[in-house]
Amino acid sequence: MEIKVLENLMKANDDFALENREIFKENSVFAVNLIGSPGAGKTTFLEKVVKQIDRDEVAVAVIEGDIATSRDAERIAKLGIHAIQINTGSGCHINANSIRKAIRELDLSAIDILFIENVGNLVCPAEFDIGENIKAAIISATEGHDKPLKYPLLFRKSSCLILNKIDLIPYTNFDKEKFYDDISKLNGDIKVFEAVCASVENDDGIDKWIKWLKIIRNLNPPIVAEFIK
Amino acid sequence: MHELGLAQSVFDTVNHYIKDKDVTRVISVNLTIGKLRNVFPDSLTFCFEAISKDSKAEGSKMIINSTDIVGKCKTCENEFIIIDNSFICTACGHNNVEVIKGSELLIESIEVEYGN
Repeated sequence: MEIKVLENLMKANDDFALENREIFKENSVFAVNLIGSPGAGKTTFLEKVVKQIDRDEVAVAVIEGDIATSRDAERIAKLGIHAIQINTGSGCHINANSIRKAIRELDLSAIDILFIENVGNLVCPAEFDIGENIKAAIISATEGHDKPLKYPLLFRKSSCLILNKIDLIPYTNFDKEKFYDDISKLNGDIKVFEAVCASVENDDGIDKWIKWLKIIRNLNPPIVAEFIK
Repeated sequence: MHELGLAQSVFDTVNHYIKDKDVTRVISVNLTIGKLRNVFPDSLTFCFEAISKDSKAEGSKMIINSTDIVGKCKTCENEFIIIDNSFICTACGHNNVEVIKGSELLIESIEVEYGN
């Protein structure tokens, strides 16, 4: 005897993601899920973004996800930004339930953009919807140009890709042409931004990313990650 | 992907659907899993076998329908199977393609045996 079920295996997580999405919408918060390998430069990138963005115009806050330590949240907090640390223990990704709990500690009505730095991992964070508006993938040139095709789900689901540490390309065999060619075959809609490793006064790539974020944040209807497949 | 977590999710869902019914055993569980998800059917089956031990679902068969990744071109509306992660339209060559099949992670149905 057959019993029809038709249920999503990720229902437990996705129900929380939906709740988070509604809460962000009610509070006009634009949530960015930043995903990349350990060492891609996620935290350093966010530090630069927080320094360069005009905080009188756009109020930001950060949620940091790591297996252990609160180092990343401490780094961001030093810049005068409200930063919350989630420690996932053995979890290799942030799930929607953790975000649901974390956002209770934030005054969402006073936040315009919420950056969520996911646990360093190119695989699992791509699978878990946490209620974000967009997924932003970040990879560094030192990781190699073949990462997009090796981790297709992330690069399909991301609205943008930050190619970080491009100033180190001369010291690697990173093939830019191959990289852009692969990305173009995998996802023609993804926007690519290049950023440097070096500490510079104003990273042009970061400026461009901030400008782009401001534009897509104001789109009507707003971008919602669940519709990006 | 997290096959153990997924197997637990399948098990919890099966139990939810058979409770308060006079089910003596679960014969099979039918899943649809898209190839875009990083799920290994063998791992999922193995984890489910371990989790369902000593329950009404012990010994049940896990039937996994693995779906191809199907893209739809936003330019010419051509639908095509994605091969080797190439999301370039096979008709017009444009690369703005959306995925319309291949992301599923669904429990379709369960086959059960009722008591008297």
